[in-house]
Order: sequence, then structure tokens, then C-alpha cells
Amino acid sequence: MRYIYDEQGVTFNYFLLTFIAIFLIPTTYFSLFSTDKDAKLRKPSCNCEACLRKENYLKNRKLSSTDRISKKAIFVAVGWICFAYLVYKVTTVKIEIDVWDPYEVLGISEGTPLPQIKKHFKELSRKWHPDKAPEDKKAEYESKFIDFTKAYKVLTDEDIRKNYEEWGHPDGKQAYSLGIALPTWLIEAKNSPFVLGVYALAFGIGLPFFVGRWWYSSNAYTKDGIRTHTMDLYFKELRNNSTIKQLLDLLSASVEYKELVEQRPSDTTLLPQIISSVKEELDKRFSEKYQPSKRYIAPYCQKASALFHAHLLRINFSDEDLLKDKYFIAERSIHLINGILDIAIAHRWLQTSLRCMELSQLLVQAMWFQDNSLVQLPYINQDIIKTMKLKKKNIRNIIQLREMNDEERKNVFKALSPTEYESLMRIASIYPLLKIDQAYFKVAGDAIITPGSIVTLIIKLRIVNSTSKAKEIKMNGVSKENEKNATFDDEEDEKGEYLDSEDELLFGRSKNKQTDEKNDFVHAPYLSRDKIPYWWVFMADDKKDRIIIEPMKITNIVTTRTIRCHFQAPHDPGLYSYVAYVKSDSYVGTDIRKDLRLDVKDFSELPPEEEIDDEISEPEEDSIAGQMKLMREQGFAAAVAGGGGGSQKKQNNDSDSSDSDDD
Amino acid sequence: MSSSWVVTVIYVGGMLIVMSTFSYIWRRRKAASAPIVPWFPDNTALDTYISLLQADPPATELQLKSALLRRAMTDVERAMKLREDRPALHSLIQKGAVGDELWNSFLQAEQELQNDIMEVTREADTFKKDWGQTIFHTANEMVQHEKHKKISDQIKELKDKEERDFKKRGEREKIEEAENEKREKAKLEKERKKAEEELLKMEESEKKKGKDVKGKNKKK
Repeated sequence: MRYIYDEQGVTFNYFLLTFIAIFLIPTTYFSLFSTDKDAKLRKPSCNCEACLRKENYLKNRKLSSTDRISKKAIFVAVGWICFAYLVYKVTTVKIEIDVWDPYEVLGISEGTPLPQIKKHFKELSRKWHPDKAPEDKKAEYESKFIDFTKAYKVLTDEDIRKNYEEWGHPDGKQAYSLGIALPTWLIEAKNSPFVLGVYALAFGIGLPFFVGRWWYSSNAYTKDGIRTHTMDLYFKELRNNSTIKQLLDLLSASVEYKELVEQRPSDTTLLPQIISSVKEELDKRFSEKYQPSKRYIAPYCQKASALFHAHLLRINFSDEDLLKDKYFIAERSIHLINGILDIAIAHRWLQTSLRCMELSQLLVQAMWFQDNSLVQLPYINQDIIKTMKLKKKNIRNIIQLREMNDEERKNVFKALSPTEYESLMRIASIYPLLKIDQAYFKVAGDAIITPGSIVTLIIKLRIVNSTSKAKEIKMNGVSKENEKNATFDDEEDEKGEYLDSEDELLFGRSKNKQTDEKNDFVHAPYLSRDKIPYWWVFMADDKKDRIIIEPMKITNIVTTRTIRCHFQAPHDPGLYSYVAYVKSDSYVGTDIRKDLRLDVKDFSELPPEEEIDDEISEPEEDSIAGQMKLMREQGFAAAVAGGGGGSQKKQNNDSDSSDSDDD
Repeated sequence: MSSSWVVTVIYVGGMLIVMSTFSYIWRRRKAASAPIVPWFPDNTALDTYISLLQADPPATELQLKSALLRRAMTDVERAMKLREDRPALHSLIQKGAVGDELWNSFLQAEQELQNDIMEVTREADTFKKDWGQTIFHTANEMVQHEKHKKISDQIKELKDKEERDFKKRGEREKIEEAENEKREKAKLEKERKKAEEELLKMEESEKKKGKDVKGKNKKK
């Protein structure tokens, strides 16, 4: 066996070609076709002053960041040039394939009759006989003669012909050769230092460097992409009674703003100006005072705080750099507030979580806490709100606006031009106002809710949205279909099917229905990026200020949506009042809450046939009933143990004893 | 022969250089990264107690006892806070929403608290036999009391603030109303004038008509 290196580099070129193509084609494709075709369709086009300003800003930013785009373009171009060169090489290099063909050797066409072959061979052998060769060409003559003889024998001799047919050569099996797709220059001795050097650079230095960098950066950020130090700060500083303003202060102290927002010398003159206009605005509109945080006094916190206020009060300023900072701070804050929310949820604090969600809405819409929710719509500024107040025609929210008749509305917004009014109404009409159609509890396999059982909360949401009739009809159709599903599900429940598999079924169905429908981007002209709205759906106990079901993030509610979530029922029978919340992350004034009652009944009230079921399945631990029972018991036990642990700790505090058993 | 020596030397030298750079960077990073941040701010109650113990004219027993009680109170407060935080932090760690550093710092804080509690009980026993068993009970009561006191104070403050705000709002509304009235009055005045003028005009035109009619009549 022998190894052959790729002398002409043909195979190696093929390898390179595929390698380049793997990277090049997707990159080119996405840079060409990913452009915001989709985005444009879904953007609520609007020509209000703020939207225009945002567009302008984005355009400017795009212009300034051309170098990044061109880098990518250069990469793609170089890639294609390499690609073309390789293709050229591959196609032009002639591959010498050693296929032994007796006809070619003899120089006759295939299928020549035997007598003619004989004649031709005789002629050739006479001409190329080694005896007749001149002195200097003896070897050549000899080899040619042997070849001719071989070819002739293949065509005439039966045995040799068999050999040829089986092995491709009259001599039988040939030496087996293996090609290696590496060009020879890579192997040559004189190049070895360079090759080794590159190898050492790549694996000795490059690999550890990149792995190290990845490791450190992944350590510095949490799974949700927030700096770990920021989360540490949030966790330590967040209290159950933190007000929205304290939350805002906490946001401004995020480590991100220290590291990613530049502190410029010009800030010392520009920031006080902004703060003074913030003060003025606050005093004028709400007769409030601007209170800079006393807890976080680092300059970056102060700057972030001032820019937050400017953002929420919609104060404009002309300085390009500060504007960029403001956009960045506002945009990042929407991400960061989720971190605070996570902590509040982990503590199961209801009020703090609600405040976080409200702050998220305010940040997206750039509104102050007491602002009228109408300012979310285009063209509505403080002047219009003021005149509305003076005329005693106060529209408090968008629902009210939509329910008014056209005449009256036009009267209120007399100051707007017809086109402006139209675009205002369009944005108002796509406002996703949600409604809970139905919300109820259900336990798999049981007719009543027993203590400690796993209860499923089913919420049916509907969007009351467009004014067009056609859509409404469609909506009704869909909801009817859903109802059908619901009854179907109920039947399944009664049969005692698994809830989970049923979940899959329903979600699978609803997904199919909704893949083509997506929510529009939020009309948020004070945010530099387009945002897709989502909703938090959760359930809580208002009186105890405790979240029972952790918020689920729901996106793309276009017509209807059924949401299911599970929780464990309380361990004591009784009537419990809970509240289901649906809160938007980006719209103010569209939140809903619905009071729910959970009636937990004692086990003795279970229907008798269920009990028989229980008895039968008791010995088998792996049956559903047995597991349910086990779960109940374990739940009870855990609760008892938890309570006991608490009291134990107290005792430990009182009496001197080692309480390491608590950990 | 010589070339193989050169290669060996280069290899070993290169390895040494790489390793030393790595260790240098590693050590520098380690030094730069801050040590575990303490979970709680400084324990002032503890500091007070210790400085009282070491005071030159020795502090009275009463002072020492009350300082120790204060220290126990701090411990109780911290224990409650840690107990509240523990499940939340645990779930956050599991979700990967916070870093491990925070967890380490939490565990350290717990350990420190444990030690402090033991120390306080031991100290308490030196003042009076078996006080160590009840000191935390007392401290807990005191903490509860302080909490209640704070809440009642807050209620008072809140009430004052609400009243002030209410007053302010009322004044503002009054001013606005007055302005509104003024405007309304001005508007009414304007309208009245307009109506008057119109009336005058109408009268005049009627007069003219009347005259015309008269004239016509006369002509007839």
C-alpha cells in the first residue's frame, strides 16, 4: 500500500471549496435577503413627530456604522473571489486518471473485429519491436512493446480477459494506493517550521485564548444576558416595598451603565441642563420635585437617572452623544427590568412584580407615572391633554377613546389635521386590548378540587382589536372552534386522560393556527429599536401579596389563545380567592385582572366511584391514582417539614445548640 | 545534531514563555477581581460591643448588656432576612439568573451569622447563667416591637403627606378653575358683544327696510 499526496491539489481544492461555501453561502444569503422586508410589513407606519425623529436618528446611526457593514461586505467579496479562483483551478486542472484501456493502447476504436485487431497488432509489433529500436530509445520501445502485447492478449486470450474484467488490469490485482487530500507543500520538510508555527499559534495560543475569553465573558453574564454584578446588586437592594421610583434608581445603578455608557467631559455642562429641564417639567406637570437618588451617587448612576427622567418625561435635547446614551439606556433598561422582575418573582412578591411590569410599560412608552395613557398615541401631546381637561372632555384611556362616536372624537381632537387624526385612530385601533373570555380551574381526573392536588388553571384570552367586520367574523369563527376544542378537552378530562398529552395536542393545534399571525411592533417612538409586545400571564393571592403561578411570557396573541398552567392546591379545604393577571410589557392601560375562586373540598367529598378506583390502584405505586396519592401525602409531609423547620430555627436561636442541621 | 538541540531549546523556551505569560495574566486577573463582597454592611452593633468591652474606664454592666442585646437584635434581623432570601436565591441559582459568586457570599454570610449567634449566647452566659437561652427570644420581641413602631410612624407620615398633597391639588384645581372661569367669562363677553352687534345690525337693516317700505308706501 502506498500513500499519495495530492500533487496537483485537486482534492484539497475541493475540500477548501466546500469549506468556504459552508460559510459563504449562508452569510451572503442573509446579508442579501434578510433585510427588513418582514419588519416593514409589521411596523405601524406613522408620521408623528416622535416617529420621524426616531427614524432620523436611526438613519444617522446607520450612516455612522457603515464601516461595520462594509467589513462584512469585504469579507463576503474576498470569500467569493477565493471561491471563484478555486472553482477555476478545479475545473482547469486536468486529472490524469490511470484507466487502462486495451483499445487506447493499441490505438484502435472499440469494437474492432478480431481479425483486424490481429492485423493491427502485427503491424505495431513489427514497428515497435525492441530489436529494431535505435540505441537511445531502447527502453521506450521495450515498454511500448510489452504494453501492446498485454493489450493484444486481453483482447484475444480468455484468461487474461477475465483478469482484466475483474481487476481492471491484465496483470490481475494492482497495488492499492491511498490518496491524502493534502497538498505536497504542506508536507515538505523545508516548510515544516512554518506549518508547525501556524499549528502552534492556532492550538497553543489561539484556542486557549478564545476559550478563556468565552469562559470569562460567560461568567460575567447570567443566562439572561445581564451582568452578574448587576444581578447581585438587584438581589441585595430589592425590597418588598420598593416603589417605582426606587426601582428606577436601582436600574440606574446597573453595572452595564457604568461599563457601556461613556462618561464624557461635556456631561458636566450638559447634564445639569437636562436635570433643570426635568425639574421644570416635573414641577409644571405634576408639581413634583426631582429627587436624585441618595443611595447611588456615583456619576454614572446620576447620569443614567437623569437620562431616565428625560426619557420618561419626553424631554428633547440636541446633543448627539447624549441622545445616543439616552436611547441606549432606555433600550437596555427594558432588558434589565426583567432581571429585577425575576428576583421579585423568585421572592414571590406580587406588588413588587406588578411595579416592575408597570415600569417596563412606562419605559417602553416613555411616560411618567401619572401621565394619561392616551399619550401613547401619536400626535397627542401635553397641550392636547390640557385642553381636553379644560373642556371637561377628559378621555382617560384608549378603550374610552375607541368607544366614543366619531363625531365627538373629532370634536375633541380639533387641533389635528385629518391625516393626523386618521393615523391616530389607526394606531388606536391596533391597540391590543385583551379580554379574558374564560378562566377556570380543573383537576385531571377529578370532578372536585381536593387539597394538595395539582390544579390546572385554564385561561382563554381574546384580543378585542380591529374595527373591521371581516376580522370579527373570523374571530368568532376561531373562538367557536376553540370552544369546540374546549368541550372536546373536557370530555377527555372526564375520561381521565393525562393533561399533559392533551396540552401538547391543543398547543400543537393552536400553534398551527397562529404561525402566520404575528403581533405588530409596538408604537414606541422613544425607543430606538422595534419591539414585539408580549404579555405576562400569572395568578396571585392579592391578600397575601404572593404569586401563586409564576408569570409566563406570551407573545403573538392575535385572535385567541388558551393558556394552561399548573399549581398545587392549598393543603386545607376551603374557599380561596385568587386573581389572574394579564399584564402587557409594553402597553399602558391594557392590563386585566380577573378574580377567581378556588373551592378546595375535603377528600371525603370525592365521588364514591373514585374511591373504588383508589382502592384498586393503591398497591401499585406506578398507577396514576397511586402517584397522585403519593404526591398529596408528600406535599403534606413537605409542608409539615417546612413549618417544623421554621420553628426549629427559632428554637435554635433561643437555645444554644448547633443548628447546622438547618442547612 | 545541532539542529535538534536548537529545536529542543526553542520548544522548551517557548513553553516556558507561554506558561509564564499565562500565570502572569492569571495572577493579575485574580488580584483585579474583587474578593467576595460581604452580604451585609458592617455590623455596627458588634463593633460597639467590642469597643465597650475594651473601653479604658470599663463600661458598666448595664451598658455591656444593652450592647449585647443590640448585637443579638442585629443577628435576629439578619437571620430573618437570610431565611427569607434563601429559597428565592436558590431558585434563581437553579435558573442561572444570578452568578455563583452571590451564592458563595450568601453561604459565607450564613456561616458568619451562625458564629456570631454562638458567640452572643456564650457572652450572654458570662453575664448571667442561662441568659444565653433567652437572649434571642428577647431580641426577637424587641425587633418586632421596633417594626411595629416604624409602621405606625410611617402611617403618620403618610397621612401628613397625603393631606399636604390633597391641599396642593385642591389649590391647583381652584386656580385652574378660576382661569377656566375667566376664559369662559371672556368668551361669554365676546359672544355677548357679538350678539349685540348683530342685533344692532339687524335693527339697522330693519329700520332701513322700514324706511324703504315707508318710502314705497309714500310713493304709492
